[in-house]
Amino acid sequence: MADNQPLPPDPIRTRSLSGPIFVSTALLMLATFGALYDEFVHKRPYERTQAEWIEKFSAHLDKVTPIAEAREASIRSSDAYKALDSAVSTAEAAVRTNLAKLDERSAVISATLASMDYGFRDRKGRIDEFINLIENAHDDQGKDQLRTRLAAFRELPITVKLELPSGVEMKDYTTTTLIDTYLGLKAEQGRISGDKGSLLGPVSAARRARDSFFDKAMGATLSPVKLEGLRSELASFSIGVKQIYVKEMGELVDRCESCHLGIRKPLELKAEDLDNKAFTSHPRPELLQTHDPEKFGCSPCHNGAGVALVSTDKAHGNFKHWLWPLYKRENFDSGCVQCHTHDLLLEGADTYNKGRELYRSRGCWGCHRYDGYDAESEEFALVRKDLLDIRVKKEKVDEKLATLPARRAMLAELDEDAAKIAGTKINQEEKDFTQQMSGLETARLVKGQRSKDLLSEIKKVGPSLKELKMKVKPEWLPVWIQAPTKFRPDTKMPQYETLDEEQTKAISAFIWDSAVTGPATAYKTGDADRGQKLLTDRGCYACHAMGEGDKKEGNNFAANLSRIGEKTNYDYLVRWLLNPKQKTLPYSLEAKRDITPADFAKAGKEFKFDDETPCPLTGGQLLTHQMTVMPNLRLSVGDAQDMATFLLTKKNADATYAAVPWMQNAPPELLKRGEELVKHYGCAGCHEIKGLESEGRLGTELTYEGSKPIERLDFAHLTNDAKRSNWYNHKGYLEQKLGNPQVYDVGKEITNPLQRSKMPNFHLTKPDREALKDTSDVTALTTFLLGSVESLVPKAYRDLPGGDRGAIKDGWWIVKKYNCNGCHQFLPESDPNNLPALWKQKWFSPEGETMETWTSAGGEVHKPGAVMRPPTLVGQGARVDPQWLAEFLRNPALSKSNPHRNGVRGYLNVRMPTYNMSEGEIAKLVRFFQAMSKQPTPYVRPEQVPLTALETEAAWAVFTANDCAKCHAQGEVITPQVNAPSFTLSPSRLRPAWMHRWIVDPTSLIPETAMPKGLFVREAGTGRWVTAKNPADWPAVLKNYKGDHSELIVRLMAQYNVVPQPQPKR
Amino acid sequence: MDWHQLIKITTAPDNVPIVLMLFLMPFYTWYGLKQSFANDRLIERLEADPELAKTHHRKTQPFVKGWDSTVHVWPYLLKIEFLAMIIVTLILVVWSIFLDAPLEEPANPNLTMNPSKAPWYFLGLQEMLVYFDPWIAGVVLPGIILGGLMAIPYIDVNPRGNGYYTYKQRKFSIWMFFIGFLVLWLVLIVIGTFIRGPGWMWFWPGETWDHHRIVHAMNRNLHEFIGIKDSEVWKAAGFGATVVGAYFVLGGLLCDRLFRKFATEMFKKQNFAQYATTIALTVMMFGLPIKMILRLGFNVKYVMATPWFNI
Repeated sequence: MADNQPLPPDPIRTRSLSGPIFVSTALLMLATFGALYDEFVHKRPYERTQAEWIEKFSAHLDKVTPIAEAREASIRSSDAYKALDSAVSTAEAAVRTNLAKLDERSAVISATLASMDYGFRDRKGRIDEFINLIENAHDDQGKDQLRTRLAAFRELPITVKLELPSGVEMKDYTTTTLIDTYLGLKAEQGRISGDKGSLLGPVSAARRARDSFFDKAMGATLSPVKLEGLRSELASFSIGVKQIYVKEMGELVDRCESCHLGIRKPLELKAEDLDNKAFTSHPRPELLQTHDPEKFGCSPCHNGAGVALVSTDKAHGNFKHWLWPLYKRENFDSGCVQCHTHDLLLEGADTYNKGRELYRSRGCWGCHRYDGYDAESEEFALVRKDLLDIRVKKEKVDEKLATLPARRAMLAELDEDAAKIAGTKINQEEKDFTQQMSGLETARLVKGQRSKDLLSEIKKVGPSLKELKMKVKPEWLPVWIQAPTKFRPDTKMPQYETLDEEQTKAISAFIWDSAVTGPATAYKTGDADRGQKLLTDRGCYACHAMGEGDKKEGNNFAANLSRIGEKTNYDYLVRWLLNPKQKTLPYSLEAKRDITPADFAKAGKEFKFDDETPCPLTGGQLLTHQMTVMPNLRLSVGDAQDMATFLLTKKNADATYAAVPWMQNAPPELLKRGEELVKHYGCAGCHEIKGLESEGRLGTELTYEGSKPIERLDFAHLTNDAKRSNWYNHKGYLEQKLGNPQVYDVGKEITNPLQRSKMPNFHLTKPDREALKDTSDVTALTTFLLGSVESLVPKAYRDLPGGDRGAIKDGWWIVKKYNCNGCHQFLPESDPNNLPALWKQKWFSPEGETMETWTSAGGEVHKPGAVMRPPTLVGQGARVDPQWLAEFLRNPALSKSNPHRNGVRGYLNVRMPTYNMSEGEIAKLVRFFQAMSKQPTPYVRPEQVPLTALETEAAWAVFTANDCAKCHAQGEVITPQVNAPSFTLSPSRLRPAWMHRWIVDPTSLIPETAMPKGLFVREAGTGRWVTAKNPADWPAVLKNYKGDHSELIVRLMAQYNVVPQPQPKR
Repeated sequence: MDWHQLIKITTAPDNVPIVLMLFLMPFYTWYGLKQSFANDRLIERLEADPELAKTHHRKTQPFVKGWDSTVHVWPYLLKIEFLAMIIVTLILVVWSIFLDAPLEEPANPNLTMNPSKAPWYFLGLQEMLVYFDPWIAGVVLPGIILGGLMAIPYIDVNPRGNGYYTYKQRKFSIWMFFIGFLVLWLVLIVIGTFIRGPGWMWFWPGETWDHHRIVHAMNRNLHEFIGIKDSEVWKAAGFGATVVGAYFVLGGLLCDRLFRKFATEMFKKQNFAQYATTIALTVMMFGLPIKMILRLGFNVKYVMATPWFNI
């Protein structure tokens, strides 16, 4: 059936999707452009930064140029510059004519050579070819033929067209003459260059002088020429990624300079200059000289994600998945730690230095091992182990040797031949064993000496607790243990905040009970007034302090003595002052206990011991001295009694102490609990305690704390807080912990106080973010520990030098250990912070001269003022004979019979103490001084030519003329006007070369010396040094003497002890 | 209610697709069901009126005589697909601009992440490991799932529902699918993504994820509940086998009763092998939620515990 109606449209066919397709396509286009924008613009902020840089830096250069131009103009118009400039012109004028002549000739030669060039090469080449043919010809006949041809060729004429400056010439040559002329002209040209060079020598020197003057005068300001150079560099700046690639550093890629465009620019750029913090120049550009970024990159020192460019946060590593975020500005020297691992004093890294020093002085190493600290005890343990091994080996060899006689006896039973063979074998074995034995014996001696050395080097952070019964009053002990900072606010000892009364009692009882008693001397009372003055005079405040708050005087290196009277026993204090190293009972390292008089008696020995005494029980090593750094001031008994009497008056009037009967006869359970607690808190890490001498360290090793995975740092209940407030990283962890060691116990349900964190509170100063420079303790230690990482920097980059630099580093460890810088100046800095602590005291400063002089019993005169300071040690290495220095350090009294004096400067009241350093430490110090003064090693004393009689007389004449005896001591006698060392020391002590420089110009070596300058002057005509006295007044012998007076005096000094003294004149 | 934690979980780049799934799955389920119900109503009408059935079998418009009964794929299908492609590309481009690939720190073999989660397609299996031992959860059950899926064409004796959505005609299949996939599989994925935190501990949404949290869970094997000790191996094994056997027998009988009543046509059409397979698969499938309840609610560790395998 036909259907007349038209078909309705089939929707499947007719429905158009154009609309949706159009819309979606449009959106897709938008999205694509969005993606392109995101990729090329949004994720490349550095391109905008660089555009900003071009604009701002260009504007800055424009701003700075007029200033530079003005400065340049002013320098160029200055008289000094004009003088130098005219010197240049004069120099140039002087050589102008000759120079012109040379140039002219040179031009002629060049033109000639150019013209001859083709012909020369052609003819020479042919000759070379000929020669080659001759050499390779088959037979003599061929050779001769060729030779003839060659000879003919040499005479072949050639006409050369010489195009000279003066005009064109045609000249005839033969091959030979052409070649000779050519070569001759070439040689002449060479000579002409040389002549020009020497002519221009003075001109270049004058130019250099003028230009270096200009550069120095410009100083940090860049000259307009350099600015122009920067400008043209900027003009050719292309926007793009700027990166440093260093293959050796583990394929390091650092793209920091894509935004930090001003970092390596030679001019100083501050944030205000370019209105963008990223464009500053690197502070202290000299650091970039020693650490070239092309070799070091940026991120090894600063951390951060050097590869990232997408945003500032990503580039600085401040997001969750980059484990090593940028060091903040207060921790910037964390990056130094990984390479400069051995430095106690790194130039320019103040925070790091402070952190390292705090770790040492506050005794963190008592609980937390750190490589390099307490290296002495670790080496000691190894050496003792070696000694034990040697002993075992020796016993084995001994056993074998013991069997030999028996075997020899058995030889009689064998027949002749067998006996001979066996006998030879036995002899050989005997030889071998004896050899082994002597090798072992040598090793034992060497290691034994090292072991003894190390034993004297090992020091503990805190005082020994073994002698408390003799040293302190019992009622003081619990007060101290409970809250040390309440008794002594600036003490090194930290506060164990989790101690309650029960724990304090137990610990006090245990410690008290464990202390030893031994024979003690009773001392008479002294004069407190004198004692007070002596404490100042003898230099005690170089290490110790007295007084609280702003009345505090002295140094924080050792204890503050303000309340010592409340705690100490008089007799022990006097004994301590006389010899701090004295130990009541020696400790046997093998038997692991103290050796009593009874033990000595059992072995039939007297109860006497020193460093050499072997243990009466085991024959092994004894620890016979206190492990304290306090040195022996070689005080007289009277001095010590006076000082102790004064110190015992230092008390707080209102301090009261509860009686402690429970401490004297403590029940065993209390003692057991005390021991358990002492072990729990690890007191033996810092103190010597009986029974716990070999306890290990309680805390984690911190040598690589900065590399610890963050998951291993226990933030406990503060984890979420930390994550959300953005301090979930090493810096945050350390700062919180150091500020309050119990912080991570917050929120914990702990019923047993022993489960709390064991770390005590050191009352460190907290960070001050507002300050321009954060000098707090917490920041210093955080910086140090943050940087303590397992470095990826290759070994070749690290700073582990030997030689002089290594000697200086080693020396600083010893200087800081014994606080030498409390009395002596080591660095020629005028920075008052580098002044030794003692010098800041009024008695030892120029203001002190108003204070009263006083005389002590025995007639010693005590004077105030800067002249009574311990001498500066700047330049000491250049001054003294190292062997003498070692001897001096062993015994600064330089006398066995009279120890109560200074060996060199007997006129000083302040006492150079005896440190009883080991041979190793003394050697290190001597090398330290030599290295600091850049002296070559070893030092060989120059031979002295003995003075003739005439020279002796002349020398004494100069001596008298300069009146050296007015100030310098004569021998051992110290008269009131003496303030310089005796000459009897000069031959062994002083280096002749130094002596010469000293007497001629002392202030060039030590600016503040009292030694007068200008004692000698240069004689006109001869140029020799002569005494400055009027030549008319010279004695006859001097008028006749034609030699150098200063050398004469030096020779006199160097031979002082063998030269006959002058006869006294009437 | 820790919103911060909730936001952190839902916006983690790894989890964004699963969050999307939370919206997409219900939406498409609803969309499909809506279409199914519409189709069912149409079927009803058409079954009642055979004349109408000749022309009105198309969804959008009744068929008009003279129209082609087939059209070319190009352009009529392809233009639809083209549009779909553009839209999908658009979504992907926008997604990739705003969500960067989650690159983390360089892998450290000494330090495992906590929690250490499988990708979403294995999260279900990882969750099942809580309830079954690795052999069952990692090998046997996945094997049965795959085997079961492969067996479906052979046990599916319902010819209806090809090429159109319908609910009434495919009730059994739809219910099995909804329970097995939407409920069991997706729920396991959602648990694995949003609920399981550090230590694979259960954290309700809004609870802060804390790896220090201590949970006391004394999970015991079923035989221990009635006093049989673990060391009494044969007794325990016997008891366990009995329980499992009882479950299969009783469960099978129950399934049989229910199928006879509610899936009568299937019951009639399937042969013994097909029917047995269907019942077996069904019983095994429901074993999972039952075990989950036993474990989460009653601290039952294993229903059957032997030294050789555990269920």
